[in-house]
Amino acid sequence: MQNRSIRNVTMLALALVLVGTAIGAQTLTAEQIVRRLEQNRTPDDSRSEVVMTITDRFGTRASELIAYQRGDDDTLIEFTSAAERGQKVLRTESEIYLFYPDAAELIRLQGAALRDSMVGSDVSYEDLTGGRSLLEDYEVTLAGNESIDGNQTYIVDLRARSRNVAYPRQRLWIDAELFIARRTELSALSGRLLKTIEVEQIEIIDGRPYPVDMVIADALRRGSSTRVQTDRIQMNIGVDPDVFSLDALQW
Amino acid sequence: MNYLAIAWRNIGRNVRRSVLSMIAAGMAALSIIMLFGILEGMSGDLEHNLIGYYTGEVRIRHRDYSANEQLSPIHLAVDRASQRVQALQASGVNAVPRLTLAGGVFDESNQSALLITGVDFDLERNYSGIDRRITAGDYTQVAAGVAQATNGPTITPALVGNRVPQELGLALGDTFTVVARAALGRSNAMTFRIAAIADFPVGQQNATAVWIPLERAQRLAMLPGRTGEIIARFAPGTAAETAVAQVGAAIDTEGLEVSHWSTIDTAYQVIEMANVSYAVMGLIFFALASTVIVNTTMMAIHERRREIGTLAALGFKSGQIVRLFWIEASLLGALGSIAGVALGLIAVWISGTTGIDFSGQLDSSGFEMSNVLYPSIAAATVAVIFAFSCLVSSLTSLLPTRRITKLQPVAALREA
Repeated sequence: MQNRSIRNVTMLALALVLVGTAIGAQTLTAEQIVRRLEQNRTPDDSRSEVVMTITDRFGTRASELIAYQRGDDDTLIEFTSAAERGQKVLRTESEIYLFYPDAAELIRLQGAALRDSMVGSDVSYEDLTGGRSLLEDYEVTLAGNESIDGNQTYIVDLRARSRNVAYPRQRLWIDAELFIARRTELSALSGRLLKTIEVEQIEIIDGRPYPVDMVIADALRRGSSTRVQTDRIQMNIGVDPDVFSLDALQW
Repeated sequence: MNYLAIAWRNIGRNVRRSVLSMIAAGMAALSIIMLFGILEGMSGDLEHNLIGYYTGEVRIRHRDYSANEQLSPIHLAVDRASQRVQALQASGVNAVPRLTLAGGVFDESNQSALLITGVDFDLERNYSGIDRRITAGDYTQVAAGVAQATNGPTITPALVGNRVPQELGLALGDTFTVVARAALGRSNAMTFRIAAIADFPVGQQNATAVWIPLERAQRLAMLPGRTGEIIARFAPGTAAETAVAQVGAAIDTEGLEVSHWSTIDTAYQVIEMANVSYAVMGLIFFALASTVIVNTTMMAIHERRREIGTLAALGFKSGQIVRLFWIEASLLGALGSIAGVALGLIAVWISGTTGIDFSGQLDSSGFEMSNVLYPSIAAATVAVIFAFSCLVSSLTSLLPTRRITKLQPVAALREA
């Protein structure tokens, strides 16, 4: 009898804890969740060594690159694999420039060219754009919760406030503990799925969760996917701002 | 009885009516001759352009390329390109490598689409003869290739279509940078200098063609030592099977697709199909023209009922009278056809010499047809058209003459 009472009390306590956790999770608003996601997203600066493994109907191939980042706006990608060696992509606040070793001038990408694939991967140049806060560009709503590989996530829907974004609709599965998107679906205004991003592995680097292995699939390229693996990343190391200048791009 | 002499005399009895019949037959023959002159000119022109600039007589490319063509699979290329071309040349086949990439110029004011083609400029002299189409600049500069720059990127000399400088707002000697789609969806860019300007036969080539040395195109495409295709031409009259077999004997074709141009889906097939439909239209033309001959013959029979009655009363059988009128109608058709064919040949000769300028219509059509078309017509086609026009006018004139057999001599004499 006493045992049963103890068991009942234990069950009740466990139930209260679970309900309490669920209620606690639900108490965050979509804006708060996205804000916490963005706090995690960008270090002051970083240098990372990345391998992109592209798989499509013609097989699998890898492109290696070094990426420098500073704040939300500046990114420099320098390809180091044999086929693309020397090619660079510079993203500044509002522009994307390409440097090719055999070209005497820089190429400034604009218009439809931004949607071109980067080195044949499922990542487009347009994906590098959009440094502004998600909350500035999108209206966000909480659509529910879901467990991904045993990790509780918030499902957050984003709908663009203007046409000035690459993907008018997004759905994010944001880890309820780490506040990092474990899965992302990027869609057109019509709701047509354009791209998916699945995070396969997250590591805590400098106290911040970072997706070191993720798979990006362009839904418009049948049978194509790109695994982006970060081999090495250094954060907040004081990357020289000149790295992101047009002059440096040509050197 | 000399039916021909009588028929000939009868034609002269009403010159105006006879001339009208002949004009109808003649106009039909003239139209058909001109139509087929243009069609044969188009066919010949397409054949020349396709073999010289597009498919060759035989095209050799990676065996999987065609199945994936909509994906622009540049990486599905022919390896050991130089060795294969040399082997073909050594066996007497006039073969050249071509590596074509889609590209564009992206600057602040201009976003122009271009087609970058890597070629062997020395071999092209004997293949496409593009060196004889240079309108400005120096072919030897592009043929010499590039000198490695000591500082900065190497500038590649390029031969461009005669409208490319205008499209890009540049002149001979100016440089421009092209971003091109390279192998496996990658992109690459290269800077070119306009070293020569050529008048390509096809309008779209003039607006988009940039020819560069093959090794530079290989670098741009990230395909060292490889080419998109090898195209070859053979002695005139070489059968398709013989040409393909000649390629197979000269090089190892394992992993390659060897196609004769007649089997490749091009505008030529459209023209071939058009030839059939235009032949049907020709038949209808003649049938319409023959209605005039039918009408003339019917009028003649009606006006000459007394004569028919007299001939019948003199003992002519109806079959003999029918034959007389039929020969008369056939002569009208034949004379009209002779005149029409002669005028048609003159028109084809004049337009074949001066050319017909279709540049406004064809510049952006995507057809591999020259802007200026030179009609031509084979003697066999002329003979067939003439025979056909005579046959149609002769057969259609049988219809009204058969009415004669229904006439009673006494009634015919009385009615007349």
